[in-house]
Amino acid sequence: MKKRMGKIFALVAAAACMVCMCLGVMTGCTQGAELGTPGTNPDKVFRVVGSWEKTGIGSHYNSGTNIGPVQYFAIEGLYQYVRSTDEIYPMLAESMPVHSEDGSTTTVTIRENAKWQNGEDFTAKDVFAFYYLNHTVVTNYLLSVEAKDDKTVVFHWNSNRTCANEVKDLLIAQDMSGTVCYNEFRSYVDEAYQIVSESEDIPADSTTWGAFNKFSKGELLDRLNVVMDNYKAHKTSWFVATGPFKVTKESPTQIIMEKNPLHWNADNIGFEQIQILSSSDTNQTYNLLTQDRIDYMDGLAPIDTLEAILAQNKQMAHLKMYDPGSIGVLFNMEKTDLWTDKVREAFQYLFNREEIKNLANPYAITSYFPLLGMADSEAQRWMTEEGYDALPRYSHDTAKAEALLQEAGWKKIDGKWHDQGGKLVDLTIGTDKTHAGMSSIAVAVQAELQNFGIESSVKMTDWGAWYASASMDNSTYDMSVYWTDLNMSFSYPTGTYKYFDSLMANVVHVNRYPTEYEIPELAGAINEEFDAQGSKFADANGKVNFSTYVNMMYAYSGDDIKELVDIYNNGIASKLWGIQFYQNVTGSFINVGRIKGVPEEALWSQERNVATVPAEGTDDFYKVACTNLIYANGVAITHGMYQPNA
Amino acid sequence: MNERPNGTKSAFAAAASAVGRWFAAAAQWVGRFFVRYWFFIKKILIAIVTLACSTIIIFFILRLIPGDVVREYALSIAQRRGISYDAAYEIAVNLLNYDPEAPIFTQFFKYVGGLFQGNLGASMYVDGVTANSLIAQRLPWTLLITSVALIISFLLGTAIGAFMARKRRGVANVLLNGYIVTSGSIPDYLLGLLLVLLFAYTLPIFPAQGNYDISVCTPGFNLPFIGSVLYHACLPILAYVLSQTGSWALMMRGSAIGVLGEDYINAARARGIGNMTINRKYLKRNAMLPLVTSFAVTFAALFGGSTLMESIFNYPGIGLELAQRIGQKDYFVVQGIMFFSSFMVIAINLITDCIYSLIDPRIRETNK
Repeated sequence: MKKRMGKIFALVAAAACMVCMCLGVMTGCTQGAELGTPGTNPDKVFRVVGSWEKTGIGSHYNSGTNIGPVQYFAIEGLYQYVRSTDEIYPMLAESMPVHSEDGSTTTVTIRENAKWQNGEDFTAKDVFAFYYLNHTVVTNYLLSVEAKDDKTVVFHWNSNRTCANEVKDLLIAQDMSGTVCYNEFRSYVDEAYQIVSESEDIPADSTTWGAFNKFSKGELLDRLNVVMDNYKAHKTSWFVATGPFKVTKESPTQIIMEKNPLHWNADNIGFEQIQILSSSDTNQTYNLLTQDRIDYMDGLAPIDTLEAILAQNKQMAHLKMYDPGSIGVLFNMEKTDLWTDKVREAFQYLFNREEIKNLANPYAITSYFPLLGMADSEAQRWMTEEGYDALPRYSHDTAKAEALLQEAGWKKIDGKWHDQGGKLVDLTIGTDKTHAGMSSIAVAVQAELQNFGIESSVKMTDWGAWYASASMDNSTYDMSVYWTDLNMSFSYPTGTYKYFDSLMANVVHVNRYPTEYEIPELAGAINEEFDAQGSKFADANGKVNFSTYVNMMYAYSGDDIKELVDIYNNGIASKLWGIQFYQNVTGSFINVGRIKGVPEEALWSQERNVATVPAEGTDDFYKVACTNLIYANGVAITHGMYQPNA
Repeated sequence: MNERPNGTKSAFAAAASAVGRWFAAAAQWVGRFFVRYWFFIKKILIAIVTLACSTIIIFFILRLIPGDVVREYALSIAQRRGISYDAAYEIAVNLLNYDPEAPIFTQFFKYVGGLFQGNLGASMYVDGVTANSLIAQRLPWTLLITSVALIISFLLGTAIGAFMARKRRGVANVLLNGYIVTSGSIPDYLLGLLLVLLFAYTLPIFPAQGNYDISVCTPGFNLPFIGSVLYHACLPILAYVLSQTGSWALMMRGSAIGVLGEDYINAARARGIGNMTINRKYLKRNAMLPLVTSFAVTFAALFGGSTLMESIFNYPGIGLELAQRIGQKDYFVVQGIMFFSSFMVIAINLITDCIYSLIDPRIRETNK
């Protein structure tokens, strides 16, 4: 009896403990002050989360060390462009670049009060130093960078590698040119300049690309590599930067940055301190948001998590913005017997794209296109109206899909589809499990295939393993769920095509020139032709090859660039290499209680989960994109749009 | 004239004989040495072979992980810096301290050569970061929480185990049994998560993450820093203690029950020695002996850190570092850290075996 009582007592005690713990957890998760409480940020602190090299962020940006969110608050260029809108903000430059009439030079004037964080003046020589030590993309189009005087930089363009003025601005705005202090790196800069000057010029008729139209080889190249290695490894006594905040304390899990009083816009920057916390996984980050430990985070969370965060932290809002990329399916075209024209067309009709989008990202924009090389919003911007209207669109129509499969010789036996050889169709779908949207889509695709009568299995691995398997010859994957297009940089066309060329084309296994091809510049390049009848870009056969213009698009503007994009997008779409399910929409979590100046107040004051993406070209469209630290590299803080609710 | 050859011959013979005797004596000495210390020599040889095997396995298994380091690095740079993928790819190729085209056996021999010089491997991504420097930076943090937790859980567990062995009935026994079963069946990381939710977020008593707070202290030998370090260590230590105590208690209970049946315990009782004394001097000491090996092995395993627990508390120990470097595919650092932890496990096992055999010579006899 005593023993039984003991057991009962023990069970009751254990149950009571569990209930207490659960209640505690639940009640603790529903804290948070009401929105709009004044003075919620008296210390004027902006708190963010991020990851950086835990052994230390090093002493300069170009050492290769991951400095994480320090980049947003300490690093600047002459300009900053905003991803997805291509808006350009002057940073260390006083005003927008001035292009000469003949297009041979671009002049940039540096702000009089632009200074390094150690108090030295930021001069044109520092910009010169940046470009001769960092041969960024823009240097492929340049002959030289000249420090005309202390505050004037002149970019001399290569007439054999022309690009449109708007592209020149974007290329310059892409570079973090305020990261090499000439006085600190003088010996490397001078030697690099010397080597570049001594190097051979690239002939006008050559298709080879090189920084400053030079081709370093042999002993010069060895010397240049040594200089670059030494420059990367160079340790300075201060973190070489010009930005509005200085790193003052650093540990493996925290970074504290204090306001830089010498910054050119110090008077308009309201925050006194930036606190950066690290997080070892996504759930930890969500907890930091929920518990009001951070004020800002880029990106979207799964819908339930997002709503839970907003429900638990009543100061937090979530704004949505376009992501210039689409997610969908890529067919492995190496499997020629499987992916015949009819089968690929049938698959375009097979999926309920709206349902799939709602499952993976309900805020995204459904696409009815096949893979076309760029996201819908970009296509609308860069194509002619006629070209855009000519793009093929596919609605959800399983009857049509069935008819097309039957035309392809497939048969449905006992509810399961068999191919033209009578073999049961059993597809292997590969995807990146670390991307929540993609893994959800893969499961949805499998379910829809199952309902339709096609057997399939999903293999989810991390990105590296998936990509290695999907891009190898004789891959086991029949199809993959991944980005069908993505633009990591500014929107001006080629970004997505080059991304496709470098990554997705290997998964699709498009035709390529042999690696030992007689024209070295084309060796290994994509060898796919698009119909271009009547276009001035067409060859004698009325075709345009993918690789002919992909590296030269920056040279075209106005109607020319639209015509080229029409040819490329319609050409890629006609190949039916894949399916776009939706254009992605991302966002930002922002603590609207602690931060003033957050756009779309009329919307988030009603519903903190702002579900709509601002229409392209509207004021909010630009403002919301600016709130994203990744997209705009801290412009919202540096230009004083965000202020503390002190 | 005629004697000289004979004299030379005899001198030569004498020298040869001396050398022969010396060799015989040396061989005898070596033979005796081997016979006498064969146990230790065998253990050392086994340890060396184990270490060699683990080195080979670590190296080749890491290379079997599919993926393209340059592409992955380029993607992360493009995302971080907001630049195009092809621009990021160029940067990645220039920044990586790694030649993916180098033949795998060349890489292996370079790696082994480095090991003999004490160089465990350099990071592919960051200049100046090596496995050695990472171990030096991170291991003390891991050892701080895990060794304190191990000592507390060992002392607590053995005390509970001894108590349960003596009092095998009653409410306390049932409760403790319940705790042992529960803590044994809940994974330690789940316990860690619960503790974070409860004591860091719900009742914000302890910090949720990190090893110290730089907003309130400056690293160095000062009270605020030491206080912050101890404060941040509380939750991870508590999680380890709660999850480990049960297994020590269970082991101790089993061992103690065996000891309680021994004649010398009955004899002590018959002599009228008090329960407290029997418990302290006879029961605990004898029952704890078999646990010492487990303690040593567990201690050795601490050098590898706990990736999950350190991730939950975002505690910058060697386990978290290892997890993050694996994610980045920073092969050379990962293999260096893994080599180090396997070396420590093998070395501590070897030392434990040797010490054990010195304490109890019967072990050497049975292993001959």
